[in-house]
This record gives sequence, structure tokens and C-alpha cells, in this order.
Amino acid sequence: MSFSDENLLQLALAGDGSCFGELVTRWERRIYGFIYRYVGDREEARDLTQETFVKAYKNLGRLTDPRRFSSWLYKIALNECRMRFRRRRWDTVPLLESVEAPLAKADQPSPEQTLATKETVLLLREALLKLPEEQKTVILMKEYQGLKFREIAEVLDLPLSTVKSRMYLGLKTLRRLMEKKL
Amino acid sequence: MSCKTMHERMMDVLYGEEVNPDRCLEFFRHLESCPDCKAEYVELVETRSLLSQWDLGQAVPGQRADTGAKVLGFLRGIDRSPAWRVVYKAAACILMLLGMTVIARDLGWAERATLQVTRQELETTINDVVVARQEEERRLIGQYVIQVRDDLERDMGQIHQYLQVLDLQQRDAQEDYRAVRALITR
Repeated sequence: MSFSDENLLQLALAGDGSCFGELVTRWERRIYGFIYRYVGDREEARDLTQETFVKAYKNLGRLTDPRRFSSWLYKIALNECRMRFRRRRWDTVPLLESVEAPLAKADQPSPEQTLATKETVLLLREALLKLPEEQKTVILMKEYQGLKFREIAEVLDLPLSTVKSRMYLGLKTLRRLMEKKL
Repeated sequence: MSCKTMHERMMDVLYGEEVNPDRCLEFFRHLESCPDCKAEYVELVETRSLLSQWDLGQAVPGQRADTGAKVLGFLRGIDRSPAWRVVYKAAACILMLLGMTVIARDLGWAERATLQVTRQELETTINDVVVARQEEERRLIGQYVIQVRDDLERDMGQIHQYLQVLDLQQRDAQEDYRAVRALITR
């Protein structure tokens, strides 16, 4: 029998610590994925993922609506990323790590295709780093986290139309940045 | 319908989110009549395709996150365990007492605890320490001298044995020499 996030949260709030552990297991991959794409550094992403869950646990009592757990968690993760970037200073652009090898699939791509994909991904990451932060955040949340526009609006405390216009502008800017390199 | 109003709808259509069929049809009709919006839409579809290439696969946070879970477990234990609460309170009390003592001393409300030692006592203490150290040095030197003497005695014994063997060999050689010489003179 599997519990919903809400049930687990309620149990965690009632003092069952293992339920929060279960929530961490459920969410750590998604949160790590978001943070990693945001900061572009594995080690830092690991640290920030850890920080996010520690903060979430410490502030569990402040979560008034358990149905909003995911957006609350993304909000904490985003704050952690922003704080880390402020500390790091914007003048130092993080070095891009090597691109992950694409997943092994039934229809294996040729070495040339793999190389082309890697180059595209590298360009994409460079372009994402150059995007204005508010556009990058919306793109990462929509494209890779699969959040709905209204969920992103909830995380960012913004009107729905603003989120959509940031997404539109972000995609256009990204396209422009990549066109220069491609 | 203006192109500007299309941008928001373009996002809905692009991500297949909450699109009413009539509005969707209206959108595509607009694209047919507006080459700029059509080109833009195609570009955005292509950009999405590029974005989809960055696949982290089954990327996991790794060991650090396991550590994170451990940290959480630790925090959980501290926060919830009654024993830790008692320890917390006791530690807080001790810290407060220490702080108050320091403040009281700084303000002159409490006498500073100082060690009163006369010059003679100090000299005696230093002397004792120096004497103890010298005695220890002497003991170590004595041990070393005894060890060197034992080694020398052992070596002298071996040398004495070698000399005896050499003496015997010399005598044998002299006897052989005499015998040979006697044979020659005959």
C-alpha cells in the first residue's frame, strides 16, 4: 500500500519521522535534477539538494497546506539555488561539466549522433546559463520538471500570464543564443 | 486576433496545456494567415526539441544525498528524542552560567580566582621539574652505556676467538715450513 504525499506529510507532522524519509526518497531525484540544471555543477547540486530537504524538514510545521508540498519544496530548492548564486558572486561563471552520456536505448545512436547530441547539449547549457534567471527558472520547471504553468505560478508567486510570457521570452532568447553557436 | 495575444496561447498549445479545441483551432487559423507567428511557432517547437536532448537519465544525487538522509535522520532524532531535549537544556544552562560568570568577573562583581604562589615555592617547583628531567636523562644515558659495554664485551669475545684461530693456523704454518725446510736440506 502506498501513501500519497499528503498522507506521508500528515504522518510526518504527527511525529512519524520515517514518513519524511519516504518523501525524501520520492522527491530527491526530481529536486536534484532541477538544482543540477540550475547550477550546472554536480557537487553543488548534491549539497543544495541536501540543504533543501534539511530546510524542508526544519520548516515542516510552516507548511499550512499539505497539497502544496511539491510547490513548497521547489520554492525551497529555488531559494537555495539563488542564495548559493548570490554567495558565489555573479562574476564567476561556473565551468560546465562534461555532458552526461545519453541513455542506452534499444535503438542505439551512432557515435556521430552521440557526439552531435553532446555538442548540442553543451551549447544548450551554455545558453541556459546566459539566460536571465527568471526565464531560466520557468524553462527548467516547465521543460524538465513537467510542472503546469499554474504550478510554476504558485512556486514563483506570480500571475499565470507572467509565467507564460517569461516562458515565451525565455524560449525565444534561448533560440537566439543557440543560433549564434549552431 | 492580434499576434501579441497569440503568444500566451502559443505556450498553451506548445505544451498541450488546457487548450480548448475552439481556441486551438483559432490559433492554427491565425498561423495560416500570419507567416511571422507560424515561423515563430516552428522555431519554438524546434527549441523544445533541442531542450529535450538534455537528458539526465536516471541521474541520482549519489552518496551525498544518502548522507543527507542520514542528516535528516540525525536531526529527526535530536528534535524528537526526549533524552536530547534534556541534554539540550542542560547544555544551555551550563552555557548561560558560564556566560554570567564571565560577565560578573568583567564587571568586578566576582573576584578573579588567581593562584597565589611564593617565589620560593615557584623556585622549588621549577627545581623539582629540572631535577626530575636531569635524573631521567641520567637514567637513559646509564642504560645506553650499559648496552654499549655489553655489545663491546660480546664483540671482544668474538675477536679473541678469531685471534686464537689465527694463532693456531700460524703455528700449523710454521710447522709445515720447518718440515719443508728439513726436506730441502737433506
